[in-house]
Amino acid sequence: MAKTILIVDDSASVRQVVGLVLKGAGYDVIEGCDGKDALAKMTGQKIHLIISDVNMPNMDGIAFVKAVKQLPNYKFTPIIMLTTESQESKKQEGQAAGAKAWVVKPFKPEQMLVAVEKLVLP
Amino acid sequence: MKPGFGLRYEPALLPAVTGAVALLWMARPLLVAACLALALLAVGAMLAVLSSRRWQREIDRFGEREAGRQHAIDHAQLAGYLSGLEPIATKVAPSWVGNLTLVRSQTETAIVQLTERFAGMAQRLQKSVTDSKGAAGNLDDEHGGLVSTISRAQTELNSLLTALREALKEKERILDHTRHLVDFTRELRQMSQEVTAVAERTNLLALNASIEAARAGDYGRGFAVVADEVRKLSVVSSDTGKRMGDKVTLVNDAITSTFKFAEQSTTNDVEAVEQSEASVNGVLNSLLGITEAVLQSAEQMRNDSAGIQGEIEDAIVHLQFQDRVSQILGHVITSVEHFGAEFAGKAATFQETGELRLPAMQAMVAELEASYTTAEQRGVGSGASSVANSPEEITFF
Repeated sequence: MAKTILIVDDSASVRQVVGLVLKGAGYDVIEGCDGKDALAKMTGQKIHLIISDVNMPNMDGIAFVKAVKQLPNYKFTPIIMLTTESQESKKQEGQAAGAKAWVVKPFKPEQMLVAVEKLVLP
Repeated sequence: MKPGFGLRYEPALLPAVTGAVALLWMARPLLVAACLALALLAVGAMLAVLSSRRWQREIDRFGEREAGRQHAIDHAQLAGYLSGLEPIATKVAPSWVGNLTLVRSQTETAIVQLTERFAGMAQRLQKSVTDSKGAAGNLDDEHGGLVSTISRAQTELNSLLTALREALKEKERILDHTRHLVDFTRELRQMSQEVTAVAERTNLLALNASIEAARAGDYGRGFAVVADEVRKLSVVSSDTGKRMGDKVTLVNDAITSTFKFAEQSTTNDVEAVEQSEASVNGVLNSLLGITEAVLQSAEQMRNDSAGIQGEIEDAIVHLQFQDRVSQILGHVITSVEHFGAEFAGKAATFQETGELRLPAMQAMVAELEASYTTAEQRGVGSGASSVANSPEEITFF
């Protein structure tokens, strides 16, 4: 059975690109357009990995990661931050919130897949 | 600049000085005249001072009036100027924001559609490649594919041809036996001729015996009967030998004819088998060649399709630029909105209080720079050349 990955990004094109890469590698994909939307869509799902943008409306990526870490079912779900933000201070914020990796856009599909395969839950 | 009390010509001094000089020249005694002249000079000086002060006050009042009038003119001009710039806040900045928002929206919509179409093309190509692999597998499969079927048919037909060749050899062996039969009939004809020859000699002997029996008279009468019967038997034997010879000839002719037909038939059969073998092998080789060409073509198409699919997926990945462009436009839109609001606020303050302050440009620039997320933006802010985010940048925590 294919593993499920949640993509959270306010850019529809980024969601499509990431989704294309992941579907091509055999993963199932769920999409959320911001932190709030993603939290709503997580309910009742078995999610093996989350890929989230940082700068988003309504609920940004850092707040979203903190919220996910408060959910008992997703406390140990690995999260990759996918963002244009490359500042060290922002990375440290992401790490402190509970993210497992920081990928700077534009990403290369093969490297994204390396990160995904390294972190995705069994 | 206010005028002071420096060295300045005063008209009131002229009659005082003139009167004093006249008194000193005309009057006697000189002391009285000097005192009167001094008094006259003192009065003239006092009048000059009073006149000078009055003029100074007039000049000051005039200056103040002029300054107030100029201030009023400047204020009105500035107010008019600011009023003329008001569209920057009310129209120009919103127009910039509107256009930038439109660009952002249209770019995003177009890129999303492009991505969808490219993704659809990539998926269709993937399906074509998969289907083509399946079809090629059916052609190339070791057990059920067309190539293996043709190979199997070729093997089976070759076995059949081998069996036919074996049958032809068997037929040739039968022909050899038939050839021996011809030899036998030749022997039989020889034997029938020998029988006829024996009958003729027996007949001759029987005739001689009859002659000798006749010469013996009554004693040879019984022998003459025997000799006659022998002669009759020899005639019958001779006829039988001749008939046997005739029959053997007929049989020989029939066998020879049959042999010729069988030999011709065998020759035809050999040619037919050889032609069949050549035809079957030709057809099967053609089929095999066509199948292999189809397989090669399918393989080439699969490779090309996979290559195009890879190119499309690369193109889709490059469409990530839209996200960065959208973010940069978002920062510019926010900054332009703040600029309009700041300018309008400062103009309103001037209208209300007359206090003129510059918009907080440094603060706005700092706010814009603080919103930067990409390395390229920071490069623009610092005036450095464009520095793109590295696509290899992945950090594991």
